[in-house]
Amino acid sequence: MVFLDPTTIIDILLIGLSGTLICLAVHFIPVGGAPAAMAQATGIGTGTVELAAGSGLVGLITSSYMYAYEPSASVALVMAAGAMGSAIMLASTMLAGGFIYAYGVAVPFASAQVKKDPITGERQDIYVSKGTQGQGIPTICFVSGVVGAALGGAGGGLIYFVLMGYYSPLITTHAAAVAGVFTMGVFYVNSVIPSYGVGGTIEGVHDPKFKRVVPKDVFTSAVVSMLCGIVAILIAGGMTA
Amino acid sequence: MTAIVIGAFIAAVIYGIFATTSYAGRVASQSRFKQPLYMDIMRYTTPSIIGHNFIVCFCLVAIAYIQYAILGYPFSIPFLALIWGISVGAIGSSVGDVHYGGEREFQNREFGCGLNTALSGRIVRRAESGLRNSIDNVWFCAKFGGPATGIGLGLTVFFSSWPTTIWGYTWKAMVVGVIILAVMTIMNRLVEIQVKNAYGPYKEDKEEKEAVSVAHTH
Repeated sequence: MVFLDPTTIIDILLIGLSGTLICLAVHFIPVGGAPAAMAQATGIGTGTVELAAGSGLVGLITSSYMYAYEPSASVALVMAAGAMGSAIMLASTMLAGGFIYAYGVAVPFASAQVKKDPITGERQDIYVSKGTQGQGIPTICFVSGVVGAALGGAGGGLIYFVLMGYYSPLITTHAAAVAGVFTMGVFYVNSVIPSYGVGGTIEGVHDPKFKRVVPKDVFTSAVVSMLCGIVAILIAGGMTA
Repeated sequence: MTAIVIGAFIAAVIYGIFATTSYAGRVASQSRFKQPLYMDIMRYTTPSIIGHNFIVCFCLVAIAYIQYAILGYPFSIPFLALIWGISVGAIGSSVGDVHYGGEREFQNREFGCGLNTALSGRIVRRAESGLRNSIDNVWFCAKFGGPATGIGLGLTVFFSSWPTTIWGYTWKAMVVGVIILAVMTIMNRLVEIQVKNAYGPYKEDKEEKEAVSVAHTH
């Protein structure tokens, strides 16, 4: 049985681990959904899945390039490359989005979940305008988002690394395509789970919702990601060069 | 290269259909708000939306082509273009779309404040001076939101590959990436300080905070 091979089991566990990492990462990203787009809630004005997948896939591009050009690259370096690409995508998005909030929509950045910003120590509650749940992207949300995107990119890099190691001996030239598409699939699976958990909006680590939903979502994601890992190994069954 | 131009042209034509039907459909389906449908939008704003779409499609496929053919990325052109397309969708949704969400065409939003939940759905038609209509909003979104999205995507494309191009595939490039992230965080902080000073604390809201919190806890 192919499943009883220890390296195969380790591969499945690693895919499960990296899927869980992506799921955890999504909770760090300050997504505000439609209310944020109307300057009615703190965060980036788009959906969880769109943002997590968008940033994670840029991380996939950078980590795959790192893997292709440094065949001897360690797993840590491939993960770091993914983390860097992903975090830079999200930071650019938040910066450009912040410009629109500041100079287009004209709202001060404020979080409604904490009284003082844990990083800058600045009062938040007096800047939250009437009838809203905060607006824009304050420093704590920005930092939390960058950390989250980095975790997600690192998770994506790890899946890619594991799958390339598994597929490369079987299909030499097309291994990157299969591994890339599969990593993309795992990204989508693991960004949908948290979006149900957080119910559309979360501000980042400082949000009370974070502590409440993370354990449940991480457990769900670990199970689902390991299923993905089993499928990834199963589809290798019919692969010939 | 010709194929990229033809492909981008077809995409722009299809996008033109979307832009026209979405504008006309939005005004027509919300006809109870009596917002007029302006031919000026069709004549001047829709072509600039189509133009932006052509530029986006052309640039994305060109980036994918350069990455595949010249830089030697392991993924094929369609997959790279798909990834960049999803990425620009995420950036466009979170950057260019924000002003449209906070738009004042139908929303009674005061300048310098977020949209009050209690005022959601309370429709206004008169602005501070003249009518409040789709010309200003759509014009502003098409000509300000689009380029702002471009800034976001440009920063992403440039800074995600620049460190590894200069410093090679090493830990040094990763450190440079961290420095870039730190600089972006500081820039966001500077913008935050500036807008907080510009729009000021809503001190008068402090007394009404109890009422708001009661309303939220029901």
